[in-house]
Amino acid sequence: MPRVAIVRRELPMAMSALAKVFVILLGMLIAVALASTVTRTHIDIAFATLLQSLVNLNVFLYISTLLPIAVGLCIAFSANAWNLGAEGQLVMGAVGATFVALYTPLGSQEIVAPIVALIFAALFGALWALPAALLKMFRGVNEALTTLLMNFIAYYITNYLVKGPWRGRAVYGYPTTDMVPRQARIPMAPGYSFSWYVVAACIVIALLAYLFLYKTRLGVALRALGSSPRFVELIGVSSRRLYLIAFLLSGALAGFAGGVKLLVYHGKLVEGPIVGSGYGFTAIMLAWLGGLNPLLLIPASYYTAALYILSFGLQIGSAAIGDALANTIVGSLLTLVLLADFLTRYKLVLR
Amino acid sequence: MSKPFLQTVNLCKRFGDVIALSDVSLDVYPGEVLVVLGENGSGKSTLAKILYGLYFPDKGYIKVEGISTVFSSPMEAKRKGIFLVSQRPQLIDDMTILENVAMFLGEPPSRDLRKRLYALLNELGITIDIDRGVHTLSYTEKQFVDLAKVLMARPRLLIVDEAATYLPRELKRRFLNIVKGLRAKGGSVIYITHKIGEAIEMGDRFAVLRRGSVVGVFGLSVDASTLRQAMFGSEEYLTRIAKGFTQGAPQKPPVLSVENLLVFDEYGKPAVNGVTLTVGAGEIVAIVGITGNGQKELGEAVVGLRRVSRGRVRLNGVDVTHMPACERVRRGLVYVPEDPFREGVAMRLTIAENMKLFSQTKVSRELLETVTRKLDVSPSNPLVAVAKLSGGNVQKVSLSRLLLTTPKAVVAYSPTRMLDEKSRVLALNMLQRLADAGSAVLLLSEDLEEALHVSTRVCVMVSGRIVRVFEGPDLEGYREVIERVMVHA
Amino acid sequence: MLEEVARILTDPLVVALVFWVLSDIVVERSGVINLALDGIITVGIAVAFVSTQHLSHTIILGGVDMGPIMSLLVTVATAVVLATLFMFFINILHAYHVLTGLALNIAFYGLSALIGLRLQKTPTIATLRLPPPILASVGILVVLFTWLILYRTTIGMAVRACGFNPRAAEHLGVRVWRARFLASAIGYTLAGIGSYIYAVVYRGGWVQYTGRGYGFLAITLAMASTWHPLLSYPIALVFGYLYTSAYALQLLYGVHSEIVNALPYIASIAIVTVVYSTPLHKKLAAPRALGEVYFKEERAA
Repeated sequence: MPRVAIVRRELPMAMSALAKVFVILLGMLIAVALASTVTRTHIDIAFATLLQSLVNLNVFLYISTLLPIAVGLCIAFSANAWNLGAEGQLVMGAVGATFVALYTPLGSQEIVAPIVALIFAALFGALWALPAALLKMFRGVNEALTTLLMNFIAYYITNYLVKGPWRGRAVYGYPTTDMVPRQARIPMAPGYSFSWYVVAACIVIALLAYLFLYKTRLGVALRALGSSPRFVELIGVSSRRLYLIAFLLSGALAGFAGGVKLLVYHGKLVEGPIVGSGYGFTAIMLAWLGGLNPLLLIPASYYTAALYILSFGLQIGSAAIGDALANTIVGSLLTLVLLADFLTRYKLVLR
Repeated sequence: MSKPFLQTVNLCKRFGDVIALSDVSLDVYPGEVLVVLGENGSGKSTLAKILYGLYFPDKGYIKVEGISTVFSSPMEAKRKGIFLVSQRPQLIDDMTILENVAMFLGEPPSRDLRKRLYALLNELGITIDIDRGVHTLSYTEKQFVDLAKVLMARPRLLIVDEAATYLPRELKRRFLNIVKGLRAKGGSVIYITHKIGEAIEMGDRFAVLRRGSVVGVFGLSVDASTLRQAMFGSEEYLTRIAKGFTQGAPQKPPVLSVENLLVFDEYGKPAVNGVTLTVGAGEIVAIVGITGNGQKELGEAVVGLRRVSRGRVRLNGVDVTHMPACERVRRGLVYVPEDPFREGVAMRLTIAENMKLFSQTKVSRELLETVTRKLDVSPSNPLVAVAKLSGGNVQKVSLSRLLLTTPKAVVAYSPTRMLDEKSRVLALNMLQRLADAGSAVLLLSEDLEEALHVSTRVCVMVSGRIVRVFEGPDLEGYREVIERVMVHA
Repeated sequence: MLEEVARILTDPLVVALVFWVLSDIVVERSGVINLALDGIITVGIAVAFVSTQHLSHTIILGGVDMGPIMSLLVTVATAVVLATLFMFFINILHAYHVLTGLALNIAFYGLSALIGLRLQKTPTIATLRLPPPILASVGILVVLFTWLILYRTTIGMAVRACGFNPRAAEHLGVRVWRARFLASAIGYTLAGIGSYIYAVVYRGGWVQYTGRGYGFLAITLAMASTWHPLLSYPIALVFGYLYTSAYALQLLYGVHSEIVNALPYIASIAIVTVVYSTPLHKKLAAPRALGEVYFKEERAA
């Protein structure tokens, strides 16, 4: 009688990598298929657009926002802090940057303005993550849930600011604040909508995160925190403090990304859901695609960025469709990653 | 010659790179007790779990009354009348005894079930209220409930996986008599143990496992030394554990002390109920008692993993009662936890990463290699993730912390439970050496034999209190007395 | 005072919420973190809306339009099918609960948008008028029903066992994966009914992503009630009261509408914090193994 059972398996590194590559290729196919169906474009055109997206320098726009968030999430997830609130932290980071830029005298100082704005952005992001972290540490409340709820709150607070006390001139019916002073903005590379400075900073952040997680005692302990908090206590490291640091760092990095998005791309604060655009969730998928390894996140974010450009490149007219498409692709990709994860960790045995 | 009730045919099972069972073929006949004898790591628990449908064999199959099959869940094993009781009673703490038994039998908790359950408990000489939550029971009570629930199902084959090994003699005898009663009714028993004395007392036939293979099957007339030879091969472990007790030694300064400690368990009951204890430099103090009398909570409170409600814990004179565990570790208190998988190591990290974390200072590659060799960790490649190691080797990695730090005090909870004989001697010698070098060692052990052998003082813990303390050069002589105290305090 | 209570008891939004909270309780009692709830609720709402439009006045039995009943069945069936997909990932693929829930949510939001946009005939439907006493009784009955199932049947016992200690449950002979599938079938039937009530009895209209967010509120309320069906009812009612009164704040005190939108989320976090700060929640047995990825052959000490 044939019987099926699921058994743990060990795959050599090469095979795990191969599985990931397979996921990536399959993901591209699905993305192209989905894109062409939803936007009613011929599949050849969709495919060609994909190839164009891979070499479109605007990938760096997406990389500069996705990469820092994903790196932060890498750190948080390694410590078993399920921070699903990157979206809200990103949005609040943008709020923080706007605050400095528009409502403090520093906002119009050359050089100082963007730096201080980004610092505030990171600060706001970290502060936004704090309540969930504290609730988990002191009351045992599931942080995945609280951070998700905070996302909604962040959206609405931003909407309120933009429609209320910070309202600027309305542009085409969408409420926004005034444009941020020129000195606060980070100059984009000519002809594109990203900044080389920021891209460099993001790569440095990823490298530093890698060194931290794999080459420092605290970082290695952080990775152990994910599976055994008691083990960490017993080697002389405060598991609570480490958990908090991991959580706040991820909030700060998400906030930083929000600040970047605002100072480089938007130039003014817009409604919450538009500032966020689901990047916080995409970054979660990214973190897992990269296997929680900051170095692997660099190519992974490049890949995801290309998919974004594909999604927006195909749609003519409704930005909403492009948005929905990108999100659907991301959702499917994450599901694929989970599937691949399963295939690498377990195998089916037929007896 | 009757036909066997159950046969295993060439069972193989591996976990990653670790081979747990290799071509194991055994027969069990109705009305007999087959003892499966083997030390830790020989694969006996894996065998039990395959027979109960918890593990799926990689190769091989089972024949039940001549029909070939493989179980993929306990449900299927139970349908054939095969049941398992193990060292850790498998009951759901948050539900009542009756609910657990009802779930086990697949029936609703009806009035009829109540009657039958009480009738059986009566027959076994157990008085207990079946509406109590399982978490209110003591370890021994849980073990007996576990056994009773299985007997309710009228097993054709009962697998006993070291379930009685850590019960005190008196209770063990009762447990074993109940099991023998099953044989009288025509059922079969597979009795798994690593203690030769117990094996000889229980068995009609003996199968010895070593490193996953059956090395011999013996009949009733076999003697202890033949069994010992089969279990350990030709290697002799005459290395005795060094004894540290020096008569008339001057009073050593207390390193670790506990005053009037009150500690609660997860359910709000006092687990440690006023314990006062001192361990001086160079002493090995053992706390013995039946599992579940507060040893775990005591160890965790001393180390800082559990809150102290009243009383004091001092390390070298400093009051550490409310300091978190990480702070105590930084001050020189080292804890070898009971559960190596969840607390002793970080499974996802490599051997090297784990060992580097144990040390507060930088660890050179040579030191890593020395430690790995000394503990005989296998595979010895430091870049291997600990999750790939067998249970005994994981415990060895956890123990490496004793070699990578210079502790002022050590609290060790069942440090040798998962180890094979050779490693057990090694670990105990490690503790002895640390004591000789001036550390204070608090040993919480379920294995009375080894506690008596290595310690300078033995405290018997019952219901959260230390009821008797034994000191002297030859503690082994007190064994009977101690066992009696453990049960009757 | 009494009329306030009556108003809440008979409010279809509150009744829908009660169904959703109970749905979450049943699923999480089996040990699975139920993050996919929001996505499935959103799809359910879209399906209820669309199917009502397509199925009304199509089949008449004995003079009664079977449309509403059929559309209810379709909604429930959709919810259960999607839930089975979710459980497949959790039980068979042993995926992390949180990630799976999140991934499926995103996919399901998109699905709900597609269904609504492509299949809708008109932007609104006539709401189904149910007499208030019926609504109130339905709410109370479903609470009792859920409690009965969880605490007075063998299935319920098995489900709860999985939430406490899946390993011990397996030893006791419970097939954990089967119990979880069953729990999700029951739970998501309730969720489907809740979505139907929301879409057809309460809302009557639909735009993209209508209903998004309620799932998370339901999960939080379930957590606040420590997953006890009987306790969840008063908590859901209190929350319902706060929620429906919030719009009064906007009208009477001129609080900005966006802040009012944020209030339910702030309130739910507050409720959970308050409950978890009292000794009460320690007395009630919560599913300890919630979120644990249960793999049968995991080695234990």
